[in-house]
Amino acid sequence: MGLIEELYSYEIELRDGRIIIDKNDFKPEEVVRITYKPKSKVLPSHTLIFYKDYRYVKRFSRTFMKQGRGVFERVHCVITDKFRFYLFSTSGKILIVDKNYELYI
Amino acid sequence: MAGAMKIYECSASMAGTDKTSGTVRFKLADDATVNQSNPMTIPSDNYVRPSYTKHLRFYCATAPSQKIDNLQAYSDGSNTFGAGISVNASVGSGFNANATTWGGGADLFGYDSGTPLNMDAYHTASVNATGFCGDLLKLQLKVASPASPGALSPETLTFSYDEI
Repeated sequence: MGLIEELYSYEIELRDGRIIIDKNDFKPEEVVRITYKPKSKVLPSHTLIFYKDYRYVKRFSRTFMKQGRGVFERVHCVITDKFRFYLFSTSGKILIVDKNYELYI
Repeated sequence: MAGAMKIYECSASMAGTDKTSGTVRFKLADDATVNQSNPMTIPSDNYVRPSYTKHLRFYCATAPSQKIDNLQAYSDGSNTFGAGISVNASVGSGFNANATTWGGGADLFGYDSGTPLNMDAYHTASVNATGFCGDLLKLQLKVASPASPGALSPETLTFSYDEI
């Protein structure tokens, strides 16, 4: 696994206190928090708390490769019922957009 | 564990050369080697010279812990090869021997980040193991008489995939 793919890891906290760092062995409605943790201290961490205003739907990561260069960005995405949250791994910047917005760079 | 994908220039549906960090060079031969052998030549008026076709395909080098899907490919939307030079692209399920006779597809530079090529339109199964995956991207370059001689600056294709 290359460096860019390793810049962020995530953890999902469920209502019963379980922490999920891999797999999808849970129901979306059980999620109360998702945190993206950087491997480097120069990047910020980001946390979404699912309390009452919006609900977790799913998460995924989207990797971008340029032929001739390889992987140049990995964007982490959290989809809620109200918006989408995109996190750019290489900079730690985030983008909040419409829940149906597909980001391609 | 996160999966890792590569881009291969195919010589068959399940074989080829890793071009993830390399260049694809259109030639007047079925040859994946990036050198000056069999270069494209500029034809006389009223003729368009096609290259041998190329096939690109995703290769899963490290299997994801869950799955990879939504394979896409696109250009930057701008053909900077200059006058008289165009590239056509299409996505298909199988490999046909590279030749100069294809003549199909649509302008590669019409596929940009807003309208990418769907690279799992035919091979729709999610990727959860190593090996070749997704569809084959077929490409062909064409040169007409207005083209200028000399080496061209490369255009860059972007590939993307989603992982859960």
